[in-house]
Amino acid sequence: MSRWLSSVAILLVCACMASPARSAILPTDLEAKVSATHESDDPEERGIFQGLQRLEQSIRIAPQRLNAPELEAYTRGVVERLIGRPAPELRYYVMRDASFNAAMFPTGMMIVNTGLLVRVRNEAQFAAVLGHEAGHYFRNHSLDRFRVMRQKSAMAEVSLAAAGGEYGWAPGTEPWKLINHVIVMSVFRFNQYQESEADAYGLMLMAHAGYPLRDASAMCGQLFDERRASAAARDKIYLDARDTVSMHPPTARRIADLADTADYLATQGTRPRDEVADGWATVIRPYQAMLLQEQIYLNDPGASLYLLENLAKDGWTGPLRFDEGEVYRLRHAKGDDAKAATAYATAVTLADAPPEAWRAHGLSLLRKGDEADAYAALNRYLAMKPDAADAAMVRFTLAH
Amino acid sequence: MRPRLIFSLLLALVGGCASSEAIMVADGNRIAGSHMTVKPGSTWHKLPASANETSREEVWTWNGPQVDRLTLLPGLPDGKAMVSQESTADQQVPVFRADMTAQDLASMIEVSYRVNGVTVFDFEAIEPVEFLGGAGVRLRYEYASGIGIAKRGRCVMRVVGRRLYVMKLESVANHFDAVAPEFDQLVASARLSDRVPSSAQ
Repeated sequence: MSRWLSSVAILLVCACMASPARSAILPTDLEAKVSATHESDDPEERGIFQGLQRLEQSIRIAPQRLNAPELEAYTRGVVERLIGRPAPELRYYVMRDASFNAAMFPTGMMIVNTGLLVRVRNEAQFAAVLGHEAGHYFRNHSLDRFRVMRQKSAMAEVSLAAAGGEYGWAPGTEPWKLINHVIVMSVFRFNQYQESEADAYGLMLMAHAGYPLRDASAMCGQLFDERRASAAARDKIYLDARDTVSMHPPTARRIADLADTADYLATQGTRPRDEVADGWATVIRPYQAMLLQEQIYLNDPGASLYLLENLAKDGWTGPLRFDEGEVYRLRHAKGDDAKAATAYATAVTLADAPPEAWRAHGLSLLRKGDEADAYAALNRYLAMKPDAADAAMVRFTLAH
Repeated sequence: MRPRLIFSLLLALVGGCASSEAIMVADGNRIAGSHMTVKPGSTWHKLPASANETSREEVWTWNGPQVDRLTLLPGLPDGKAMVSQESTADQQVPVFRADMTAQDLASMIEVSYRVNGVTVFDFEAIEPVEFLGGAGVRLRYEYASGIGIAKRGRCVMRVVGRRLYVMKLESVANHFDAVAPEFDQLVASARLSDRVPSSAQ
């Protein structure tokens, strides 16, 4: 009986291993359907474009837009490297939103969320996501989807207005979230075939540009692992099928598809990338503290700790150790006070410790009753950041 | 069918707005179910409770809920969250603890915004303030909550008798300077009855 069971299990495993290769879309004959000089006489398309242009005007001046010309320029550089030509017709906006997301609209507007940037470890991973979104754009999925959804837009607007009125100005139900919700739930619900095709197209672009192809499946795997870590921290099991927002193929199959396609392309003699320095670490460093704060102050400790440990594969830094302490401080489970104190104490031993690490270290020492060292640490914080927003409060603490 | 549905929705919304009550109390207004009183210097309107609020808080507005909102949270016990949230939610606002530092309280406020979809949040100041007859903490901050909508906030807090007392103002940024003096006046007028044990934070 047990032999029969193990045989069935082996067959099932083999079937699962075989299915990705069969279902994967090979990145051959995937021509771009959108040219750099595309113009349409179709009234419906023009209507869609006019609506999106109004949206872009709002996004351009939105307080959520991160004023980061160098990040936008870097994003442009990666996309142009992927598609192999300058693309002045494409526009890029980095938006402060902690969710992992990017989108490319039919008008050539691309939105990259800070929640994506914080999770990327190198340029190839960034290229994998941008290549996927470029696939939706150049294969015309975006426009096709807008056409289908245009009929539903009136209903979406009614829902938007009704929801805004019902909830007033409660922070969680305000316009950006509602617009984002409509975008995610309605407009960008590509079907699974389109998602698979965008994956294949993105890998094809990565291959042409010489990026390491396995980084696409690695990026997907990181996201999967983060969600599992998030659930596990709350004693839950992450069930991919429950992710109703996403129309991407189930993650495990997608990771396998991406890896299979990468292997296939590797056998096709794609050229290895020229020795170009990976500029990711340099361009992201000035923003990393802000990006991590956005994530950590969502107080999702499982996800945050996974993210920090993933980034620390390249080495723990002062800011990463400080953020680790912040995760424990916010979670405040049994033993977290001590873990936070250890993380802060470690952070201040590192050369790149941020001023906030000294403040946190000082406050944790104060809690322990070590006043002399606490005051020294808090004074060090004030010396490093005399005009800090909380300087008056820290001075008050020192005086009392 | 659709026009009727929209009309019904509008009716419900108008009905909701109309149920706010004016607050003009000369001798001090006691916050429901608490030992805290404030004395408004001008007319505020109490908003009907919404599903997002805890049972302990009151929400008032000076110029309409889409312009400004004042939240009064009088005496949150140790171990309770200042917002209504499901225990199984992925992201949680930390519960209040009586031993929280000013930094912890500020973090709790920041998280309360971020888990509710606010993506841009920056403190202008975290500073000591006199509140309810003792040393409290005042937060001044700005945040973004919608395309094109910048907002500012001010929050005054103090722990008394292991309970947290909070007065919080939120307003669209270009209206903030008009309503902030009214808020400051309310904060200055806030009192606790003698029955509450006084222990500074």
